Amino acid sequence: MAEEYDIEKVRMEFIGKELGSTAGKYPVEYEPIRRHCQMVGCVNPLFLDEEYAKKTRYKGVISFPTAVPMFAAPGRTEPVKVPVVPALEVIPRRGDGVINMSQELIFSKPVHIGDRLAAKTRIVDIFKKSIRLDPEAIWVTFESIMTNQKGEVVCTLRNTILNYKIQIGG
Amino acid sequence: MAEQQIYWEDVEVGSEIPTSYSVEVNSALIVDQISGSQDYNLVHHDREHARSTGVPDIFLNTGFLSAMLARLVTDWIGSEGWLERLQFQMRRMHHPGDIVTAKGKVTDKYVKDDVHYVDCDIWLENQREGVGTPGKATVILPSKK
Repeated sequence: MAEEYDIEKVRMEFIGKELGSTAGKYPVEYEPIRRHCQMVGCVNPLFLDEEYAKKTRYKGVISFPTAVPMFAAPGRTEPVKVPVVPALEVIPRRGDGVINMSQELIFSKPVHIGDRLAAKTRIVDIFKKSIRLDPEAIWVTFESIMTNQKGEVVCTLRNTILNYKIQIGG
Repeated sequence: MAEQQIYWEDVEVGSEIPTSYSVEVNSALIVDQISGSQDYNLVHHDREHARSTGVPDIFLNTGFLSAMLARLVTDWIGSEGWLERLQFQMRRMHHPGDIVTAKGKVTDKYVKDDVHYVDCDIWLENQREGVGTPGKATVILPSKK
């Protein structure tokens, strides 16, 4: 018989837990912003054209908003079968299934070419909620606060993921 | 994207965000998704693996969905506007063959501490299931005053 997932014990132990810090592998650069814009067909010159952006109040190209978390990350995700999610590396897993359910991004300051970003992450909520794939699925919300090289907060990301037991044909 | 700067006074509650657009989920888009998001999780580009996890097919990743919604808003608010908050839920998946459309509507406008805010409902929908990615955005716009 499978061991029961003690959600109350997990909540007591892990809500509020710091997951450590990450530093962006590279500074903020033009090319990753261009590739991020290209994937959704964005041609806004504020993110792509230095000559145009110099004439705006930003005095130069700034990061497309949703590219910001990429610059605070230690590199690309690896092509692995079980996604590496820091929050799920520390709490007991329900299973190998992971789906990202919701995000909230708050953008506090523009991010400029050459900025170096870092992030501190902590778990802010853990709960159990049924889904079609698994009636005992576990939901985890974590918060990453991203700062620039001056220590200024540039972005806050709250991300809720669910962790479920894969039951093929079951 | 909008050619002219929009101002807070120009915005009417209940009006649609005029920069709606669509993308077709195909193999080229999947390649762009990986390149642009740096998300190499197999569920987003390896069909056999995706199906082994219990989902029907590969599906668009979080970075792509957030960027689609952000483009809808940043195309609209212009260089003098600021996207302050973007929130969304991933309730349905967008698979190859889907046409995904970004849309939005203004729900409120207000001034707080001399800052001119506009709240919006924003979402992504596809032809199979309708709205799959509902969300909200708060933007700051310049004022004519």
